[in-house]
Amino acid sequence: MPGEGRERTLLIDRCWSIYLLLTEHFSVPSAFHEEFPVLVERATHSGLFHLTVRLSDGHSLYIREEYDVTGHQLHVGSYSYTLTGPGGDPLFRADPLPHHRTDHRKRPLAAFPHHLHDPSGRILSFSGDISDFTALVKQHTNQSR
Amino acid sequence: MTKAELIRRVSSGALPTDTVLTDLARELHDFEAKYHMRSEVFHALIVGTPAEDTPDFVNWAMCYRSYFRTLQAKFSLKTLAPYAR
Repeated sequence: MPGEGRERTLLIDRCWSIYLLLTEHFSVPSAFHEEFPVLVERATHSGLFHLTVRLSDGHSLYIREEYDVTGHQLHVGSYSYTLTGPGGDPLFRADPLPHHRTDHRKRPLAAFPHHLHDPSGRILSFSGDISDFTALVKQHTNQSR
Repeated sequence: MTKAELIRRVSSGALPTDTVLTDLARELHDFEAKYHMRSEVFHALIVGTPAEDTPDFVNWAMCYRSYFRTLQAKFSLKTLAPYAR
């Protein structure tokens, strides 16, 4: 379980990398820094990290990651990364559910089962890396200014 | 916040397992009320099918698995052993 020794350390490392990613690239509310350790502690009990952050331009970013630990490695078993607009409308969402093999143009997904849902509901290739999702968020929120 | 501060705060043990279970159970209940479906039924009918790939259902499935994982950690085999006699 993530709550024990080595697993706990790996989980905190992962969450810390998410914290750095978000605070380096986005303007987050001050409450975010207070709330974050509580969310990490919750994840050490449940193996599920769940974060919602409202960005300064009104967009919201939802991050959910479910962790498995095997040996000395922590794996993100499942995840859901979602960006919604200021009105709560879903824009981009990434997940690794294995129900799509091709993108909307019928090309094989570059990193199956990872994929992205765009604002039109189309399926696109996605690496599975959270930093690629936050880069997309940054690109989208910059464009919509 | 520094990493050392994060570790210190996470390691303070201020959050009891029961609180985490209560939060997860509340979230499961919210999904159940929204979709008029018990989590067990949702898991049997939806998880593993293409219908799972919607925002709520992805989150519901993760919440369901996490609830069980947290329960299993709380009631370890050692804890339950006396009741197996």
